[in-house]
Amino acid sequence: MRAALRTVTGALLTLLASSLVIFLALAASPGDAASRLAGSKATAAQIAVIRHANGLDQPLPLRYLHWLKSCLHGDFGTSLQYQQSVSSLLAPRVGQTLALVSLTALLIMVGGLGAGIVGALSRPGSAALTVLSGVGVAVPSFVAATLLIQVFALWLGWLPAISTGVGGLRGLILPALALALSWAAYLSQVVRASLREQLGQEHVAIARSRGLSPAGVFRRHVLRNAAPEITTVSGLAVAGLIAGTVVVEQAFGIGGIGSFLVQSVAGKDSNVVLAISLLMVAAFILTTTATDLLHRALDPRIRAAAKTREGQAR
Amino acid sequence: MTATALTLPAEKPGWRGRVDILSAALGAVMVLLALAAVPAPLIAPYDPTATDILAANSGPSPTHWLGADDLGRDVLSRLLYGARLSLLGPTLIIATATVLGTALGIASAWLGGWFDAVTSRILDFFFAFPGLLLSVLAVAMIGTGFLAPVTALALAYTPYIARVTRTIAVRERNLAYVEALRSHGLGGWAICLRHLAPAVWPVIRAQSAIAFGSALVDLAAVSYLGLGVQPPSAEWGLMVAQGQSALLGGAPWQSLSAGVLIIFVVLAVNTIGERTGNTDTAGARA
Repeated sequence: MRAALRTVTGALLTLLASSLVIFLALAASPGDAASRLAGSKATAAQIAVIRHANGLDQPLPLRYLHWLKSCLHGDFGTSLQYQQSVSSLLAPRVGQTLALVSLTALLIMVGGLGAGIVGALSRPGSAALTVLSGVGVAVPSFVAATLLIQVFALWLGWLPAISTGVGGLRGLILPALALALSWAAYLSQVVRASLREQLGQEHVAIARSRGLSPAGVFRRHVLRNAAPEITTVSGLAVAGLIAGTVVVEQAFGIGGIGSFLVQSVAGKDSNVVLAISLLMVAAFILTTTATDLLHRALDPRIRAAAKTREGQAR
Repeated sequence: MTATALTLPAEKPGWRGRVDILSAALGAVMVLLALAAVPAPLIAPYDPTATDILAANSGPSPTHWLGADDLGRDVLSRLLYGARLSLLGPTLIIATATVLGTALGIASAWLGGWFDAVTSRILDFFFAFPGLLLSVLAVAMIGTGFLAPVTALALAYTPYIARVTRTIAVRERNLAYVEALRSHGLGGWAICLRHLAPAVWPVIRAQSAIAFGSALVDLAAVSYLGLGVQPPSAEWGLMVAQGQSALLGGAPWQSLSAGVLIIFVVLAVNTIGERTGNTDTAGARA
């Protein structure tokens, strides 16, 4: 329990440190936010008023604390490009990205687990899957995107090549496939290796020799023991997706926060870049921390080890 | 090295010979590709920026082996020139990350105490920061180009190497021979450089090879987003992006050939990395 608490505190501290790094990186970037906000026709006096109104004339540490406080209230400032509040710009886009991440995570879990289990249990399947997963791991999402567009949108005409304005699931299938491919291939490699290791254990042979059903042995002894490692890698995959959406959203023209981040970097819209970077790092840290806690819950050995370690002087 | 060698899973007999041939062949192809990149002006059939507007968006032909892009520039020549930036970038990233990561990992293992604690905290922090996001932030800070993403990715890959190094170096440091060397009066520097570093190297070499592939992908992704090197530079990630509108118009040659080349290089370094060192024993538990 104490170890879990330490994990959560560590995650919060990392998030705080990230917010500082993100803030400083953007504060060091060229360009004056006040003159952008004032518009091109503003006089020096008008710019000074806007600078003061937005607190941009204050020293850096104060500005950081002020920004952090507003972020906690859900206020990310004003977009320099759109002259609108950043939260109102983000609200419709977060949903798109979440839908993409959820669908991709589902594909990774189903594809990675399925292929991993088949690879561990069937000999002919194993050889084919070794090659396929090896190639799959090496395919970057933006290359997968062009290949999928070529095959499914242009040759077969089943799905749209560009997701802009395509409602519902139809526009998300190809992007999710492109994003899922290399992670699913990687997960299947880990699942296969992990299950193989468990299948070779003595206790599995003994359970079988006692006449337990193969399915029961697989579920209760093999899958159960491999669960912590599989959970960890799945969690890392989902965490990795979050930044990966940037590339795929751009490739398919999805109006999520990823493609908005790229537009905002190109347009030097620092308030939007700050907000999206912070959201993405927070989602990343949340996912890895949740994975860590889940791993702990699934693996009694870690709990035991943590207990003895807590007994020793630190 | 004995400690790690013992934990390697037993390999099937007869597997070894084939493995080495495959790694060597892939390594040779990679070397050839790198060799073709350096004297690209001598090998490439065309200037990478020369436009032949009549050939725009054409497919493979005797004059343009891999077709031409939307401006009529020769795709094969651009791929050869592109190999320079596309291979130099990850080389710089991984060289920096390997040197920095190995040094930090060995120093943490050797010194322990507060140095280890502080270094681990900082490395954990960078580990919690997706490399792609760090690159995008660096671009926001410094501007688009080659330097920003390469610096950011070098920082992002350092903890990856440092963690593995530290794990192995700690195990090595506790072995009896290090104690023996110390009792013979050998200094810390000498032990770290002449004994710990060589002990760590085989695993790090394999890790770096695999990290090279993912650094190449990350860097190409930044270029693909339009935040890395800018046109008219030739770079593989940028070529995939630039070819996308032609692809939608029925001329897929630029995007596909650049994409396939990226896949091939990543596949080659992954295979070499996996076959020459066992990554599962060191990497997963780092």
